[in-house]
Amino acid sequence: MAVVADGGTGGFTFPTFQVEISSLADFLAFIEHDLGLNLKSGLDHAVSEANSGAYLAAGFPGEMIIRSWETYLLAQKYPIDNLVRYLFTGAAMLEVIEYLMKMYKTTEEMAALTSEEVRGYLSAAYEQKYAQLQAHAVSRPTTTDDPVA
Amino acid sequence: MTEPTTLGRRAGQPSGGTRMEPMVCPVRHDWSRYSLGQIAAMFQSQPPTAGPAAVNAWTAIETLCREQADRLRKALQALAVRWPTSQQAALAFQEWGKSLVQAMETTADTASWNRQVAANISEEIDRARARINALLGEWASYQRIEQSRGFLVAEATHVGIELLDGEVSLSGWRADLNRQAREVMASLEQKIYNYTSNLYADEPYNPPVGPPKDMLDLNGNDLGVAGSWGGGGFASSVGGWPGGWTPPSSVIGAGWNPLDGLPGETVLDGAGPTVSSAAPVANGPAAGGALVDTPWGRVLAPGGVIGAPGGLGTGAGTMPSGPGLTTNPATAGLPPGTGQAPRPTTSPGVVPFMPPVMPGRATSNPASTTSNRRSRPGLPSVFETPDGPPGVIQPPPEPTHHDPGPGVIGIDR
Repeated sequence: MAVVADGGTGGFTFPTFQVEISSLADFLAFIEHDLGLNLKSGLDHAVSEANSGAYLAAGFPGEMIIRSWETYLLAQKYPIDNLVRYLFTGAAMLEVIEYLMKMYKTTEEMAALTSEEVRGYLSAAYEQKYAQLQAHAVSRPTTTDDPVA
Repeated sequence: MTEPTTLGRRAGQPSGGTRMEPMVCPVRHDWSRYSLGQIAAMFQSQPPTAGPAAVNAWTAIETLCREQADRLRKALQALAVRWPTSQQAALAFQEWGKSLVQAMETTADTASWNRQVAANISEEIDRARARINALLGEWASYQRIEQSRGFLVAEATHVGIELLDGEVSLSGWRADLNRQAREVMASLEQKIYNYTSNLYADEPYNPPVGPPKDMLDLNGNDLGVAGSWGGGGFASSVGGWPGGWTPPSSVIGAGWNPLDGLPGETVLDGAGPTVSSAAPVANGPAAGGALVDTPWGRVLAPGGVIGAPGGLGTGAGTMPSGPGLTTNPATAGLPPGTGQAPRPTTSPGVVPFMPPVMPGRATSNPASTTSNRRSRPGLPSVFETPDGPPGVIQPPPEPTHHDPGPGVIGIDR
């Protein structure tokens, strides 16, 4: 990790952009290779088990059991949907980090970056991912041979 | 077999989750219509692996969220060391990351709680299955005795046991085993309902930076996430799993569809079900018929009758005289200009004014007084009476000639 001293006084009065960019790079690598992969594989595993577990209390007659089963399926649906959102959020964060590393080259530029600007980047990246997701859902073939995937 | 864990308020109860409330107050099922064999067949459609798989699903969700939240928190801490939050940009990043960490931990807590619910349900089903299998074994034993012409011994043995228990079933061992199976199912039904009333759901995660409210389509649409996100990152690792999870179609049994009760969107999003108000009902009244369009869909018009013939005006079918229920005064037996002005029959939510029937008023068409009357073939009209006898009874006419015949003594005129 590249660290730049601030003038030879023997300490670091403040982190320089080189430190920041390296830290961002580390964080980017974590998001991409750790969080993303683990969320993806973990989600696949959870969905597979949830599909098998959906048969729990299925096949019995009676309104009480059927309503209970519906409630269970709903309760199972919510966290899985949230896992998708977590993956979605991580991807947006990843994209913003890449953007910051590409656009801001100096310490002065980085220091001038406001919180509102960063939040704007995050929000824009998030909405962009959402639009891409929707467009992909529309154009996606119904077969399992998804060329995009 | 151990007793299921009692679910009450406890310290580990998910704080960020929302308790799943039953959508309706269900009624107990009438199990008296089922025999032991039929009940045993129900368990055949319940794979024994479903329970462990359900527990594994919750475990996977909890473990995944717990581990990733922990790793993300450590990564954010490491980032903060090198990129302190004294910089506004760093602060925004930390806020984003911490919201994700907190959401993951909430999901993990909820999954941990719900896993115990699934385990309890699974255990109860296994317990009921074992009991039903035991009853099946007893049934087979009795049948073997019967087939060996020893059914009298079996009956005597059975009645003797019941005498010791203080109750005698005159219907024999079949009725008794059927009754026990029904009791098992009634108990299972109640326990499953009680356990699922303790399910929790974590609220949908929304980052604190103003993303689209409905960032994911939770209507069950098959959204391939990240497959087209591009820019590296997750795109290479995602194989196109659905964004909105729905149970496999094979889990839905024939004859009933429990998924009808699933709302179209996540309840916690606060979105109501989408109703297509413009779509006509198949084989139902046409638009502008007895149904009216409302923001909540097509409903029966005030005073309307289900099954009114299509093609009539709004509110048609509310009078037994059929098509006379229009807004045209002439067809209602009134002179022109009387009553309400004609309205478009397709005005949504508008029920036309119904003028009272005023018999005896002049009409342009004399036949119109009966033209609106529904004809009933084969039945005489109640308004048409047959010709009756004359009002005054007259004697028959006097004979003008009378011949008494020969040999009759009389006055000779």
